[in-house]
Amino acid sequence: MNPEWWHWVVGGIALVLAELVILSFFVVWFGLGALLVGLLALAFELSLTAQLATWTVASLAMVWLWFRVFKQSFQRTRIGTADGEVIGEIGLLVSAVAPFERGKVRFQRPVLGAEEWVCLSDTAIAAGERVKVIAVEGSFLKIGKA
Amino acid sequence: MDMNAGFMVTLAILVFVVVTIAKGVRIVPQGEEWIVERLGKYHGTLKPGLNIVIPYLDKVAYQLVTKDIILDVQEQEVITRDNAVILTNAIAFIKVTDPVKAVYGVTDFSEAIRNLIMTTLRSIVGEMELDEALSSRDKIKARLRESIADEAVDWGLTVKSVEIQDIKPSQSMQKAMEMQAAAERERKAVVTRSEGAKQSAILEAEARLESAKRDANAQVMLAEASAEAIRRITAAIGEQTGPMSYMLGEKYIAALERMGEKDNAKVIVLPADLQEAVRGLFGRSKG
Repeated sequence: MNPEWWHWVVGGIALVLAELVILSFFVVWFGLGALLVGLLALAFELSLTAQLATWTVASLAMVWLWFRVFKQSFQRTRIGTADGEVIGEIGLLVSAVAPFERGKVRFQRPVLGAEEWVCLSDTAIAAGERVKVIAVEGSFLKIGKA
Repeated sequence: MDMNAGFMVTLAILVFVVVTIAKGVRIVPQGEEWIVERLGKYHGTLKPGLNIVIPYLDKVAYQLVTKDIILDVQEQEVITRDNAVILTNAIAFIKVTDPVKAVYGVTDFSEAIRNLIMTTLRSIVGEMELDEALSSRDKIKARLRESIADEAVDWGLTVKSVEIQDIKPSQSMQKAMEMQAAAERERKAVVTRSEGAKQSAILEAEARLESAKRDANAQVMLAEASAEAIRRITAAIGEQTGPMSYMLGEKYIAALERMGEKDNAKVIVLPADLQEAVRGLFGRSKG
């Protein structure tokens, strides 16, 4: 009735392999958990309940650890995201901008398909200043002082 | 029995954990962003990569593509200011820059922006003459982008570019233009032909005029020559009528002789006094 230690090991390897197909990145932790239980079962005599409980706790702990380690902020590229790679791009203000007045900003290389953009800002910035893109709002760019 | 309950609870917890984690872990691929609603309200946007949501509260309501979207604006008939019908279609590249506005601002942003481009294109071209519309694509592009800027803000979209793919006269318009060109050529042909006819008539008339002039000249010269000949003969003869009568008589007889040779006139009345007859011929000049 009690599963042997090797049942856990084989099941664990199967789960790790299943990750390749499922690609949801949590099955692998359950697989590793199962491997761990297999090793424990080899060393100690464990009841089925204890085995299941160990598996659950071990897997949960690994998932939690993984999320602690995994840094969402780490991104290799921002291409294809909504904000895009344009946030932070430096441009030259060619016509002054004020809170209720649109200005114009020019970039060295085209940004989102255009070199010159109508821009908005929360503060008054004089023409000729270097500015930085804060947000894209439709056909306008929100800018701030660089 | 106690052992069995513990086992069942452990099993239930295991199933709960697996299901919860399975539903809670969300991997968003690069190029997409997902909108999460918590109890029906907007809660957050999932960025590319690994994300966790709370399975029993949160729901991934929309999965948005944040790459550039290629929007085909179908062919449509547009009437220009000079009432010509042209067919035009466009292609637009748009990008979702604010997923929340794109999802909650309008029911279907692709369809919305496509329709907006269609109607705006119609109104821009409607203000242009046919030739202008056919030749100023860049102007149309710039104005189109400008016109849809306001809606684009509301819908969290950036229109990266709009290209006019085709701009051509409609079938009937094309036919009319071809007919116009053909008629123009025909007109030229007719004009050329009648120019030729005119030219040839003028030349012919000129030729007639020239020949008439020369004929007249010739007649005058002939008359002058006759007058000169007569003058010379008169000078040569002087007061003597004898040689003249002789010459005349000789010619007279020669004429009678030729008359006699003919088959048709056999009865010839000769004057008895030939000398007097010749003198009679001559009498008036002798006067």
